[in-house]
Amino acid sequence: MRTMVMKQTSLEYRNPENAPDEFEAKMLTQFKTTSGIEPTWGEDVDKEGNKTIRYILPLYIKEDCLPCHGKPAYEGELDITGYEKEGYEIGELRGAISIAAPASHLDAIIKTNSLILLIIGVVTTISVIFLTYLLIRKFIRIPLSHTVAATKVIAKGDLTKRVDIKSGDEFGELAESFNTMAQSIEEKTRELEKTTHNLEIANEELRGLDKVKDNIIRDVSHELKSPLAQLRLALELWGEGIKDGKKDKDKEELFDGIIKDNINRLNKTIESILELTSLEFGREDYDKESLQLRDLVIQVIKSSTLLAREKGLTIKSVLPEKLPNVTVDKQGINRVVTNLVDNAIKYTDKGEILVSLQQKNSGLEFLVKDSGIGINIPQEHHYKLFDRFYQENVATPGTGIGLSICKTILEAHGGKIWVESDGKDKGTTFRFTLPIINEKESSVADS
Amino acid sequence: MGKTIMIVEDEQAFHDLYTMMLEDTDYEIIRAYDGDEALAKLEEKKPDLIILDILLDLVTGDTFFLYIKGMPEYADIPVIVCSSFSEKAYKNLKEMDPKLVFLEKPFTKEQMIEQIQAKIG
Repeated sequence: MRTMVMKQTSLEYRNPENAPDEFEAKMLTQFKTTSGIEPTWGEDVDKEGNKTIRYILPLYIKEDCLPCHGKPAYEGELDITGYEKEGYEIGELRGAISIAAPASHLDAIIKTNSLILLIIGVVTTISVIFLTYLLIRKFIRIPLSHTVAATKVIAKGDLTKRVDIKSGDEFGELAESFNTMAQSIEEKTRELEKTTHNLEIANEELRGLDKVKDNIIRDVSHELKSPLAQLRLALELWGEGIKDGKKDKDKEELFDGIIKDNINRLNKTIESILELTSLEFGREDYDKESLQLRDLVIQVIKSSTLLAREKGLTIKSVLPEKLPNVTVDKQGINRVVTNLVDNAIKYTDKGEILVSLQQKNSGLEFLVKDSGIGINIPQEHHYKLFDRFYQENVATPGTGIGLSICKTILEAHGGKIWVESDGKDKGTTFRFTLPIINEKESSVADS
Repeated sequence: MGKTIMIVEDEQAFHDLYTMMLEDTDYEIIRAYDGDEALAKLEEKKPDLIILDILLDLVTGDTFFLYIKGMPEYADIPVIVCSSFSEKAYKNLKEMDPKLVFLEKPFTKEQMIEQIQAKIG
């Protein structure tokens, strides 16, 4: 069968062309015995052996059918087509419309449809996979890779890295937790760095102390043994002269000078050591009183003028009146000012020395500026000048302990001292500050 | 005129004492007050002996010593080092010049003369 065939069929056919085949007869019998069956699909094989698709639609008698198929008004009544009326009643099965179509055609359609379905399936699957990939990428991979990248950066040591994801989902939460963790690590690391730094400083200070100890031994040794050597030689040579009965007035004066100088030098060294030791251990009692620093400075300048005049130096002073009082230990601060002014004279051979006092913020600043030998060490080592026994120029008499004492006294008053110099032979400026404490604060501080 | 001694010492009193100590000899004395001056005077005249105070300002005594021992034309000059410290403190200098003589302060005239004579007669 090459084409589709549609025909009417009935178990009680009137036209032999409408005689049912095997499939139709079976279905008609079913329709007849079981009422209410819907149109039915089926499969069959035609005479040539080809697979055939069948469709059969039952036809039940309705009102409209009765003029041809209803009860005859008389025996042998014919309908309009010339057949005898069979006497059917409404609802009875009259026959069926049967369609038979070659299955080969439908198979092809099924195959095509299957192929289309397959293609749609594959395309859909690929699309779903691709969409899923995009979604994963947007909502999982990118946030995750940001987090991983941030982790790597942090692992490499840059603790300031943060993840910028504000999605509000689990990744947002993860990013937030991650950032909190990173911040915590950063803070902890900072603290650790600070502690390490402090430890390094402490260590450095300890090493410094060790060095200070070595230097003290070296300087004390030098400051004691050098005068001793000069004393010994002077006495030996003097003694030789006496033994030989020679009398040389010039030499005797020289010996006398050397001996006196060196005894003074030894005495000064020993006093300085004792003084510094007592100061550093806080045994020195400060007797603080409110006074005009100007008066104290003028007093010091007066007593140093002679020394300056001997060296042909002039002392110029800029000391404004009506500066606030400072509450200090008179003796201690007097020692500081004297030491600084004497140093300026000692290390200057010509020119002038400027002494000034001025109010700066909540303190008084004292300055002594000379045109002397200057400081021949780099700025960053200037603090060493305040180390005990440090002496830049050992040729100049003195023990180098004076500045260390000044620093200790000033620090005990809440002040500080520093030095400035443009280098060798370019003069030196020492400055110190003392805080101005009003009477009220002073009494509170004392209590 | 006899042999020449360069005294490198930063304190005037020591220079005065050395001069008196050696006034009965016929040594010629060159005075230098620091390492820089000593280097300048070395160029003017090569001494037969150097008496060196090790704690000098500017060019320190030990730097000066290392400098002359590194210069072929001065390396052979004998050196007497006067210091407040014992020889132990200057091991490195001794390694450089085994003939180096140390006089620890305070020393006597006799000790000094003895060392000078041992070096240059």
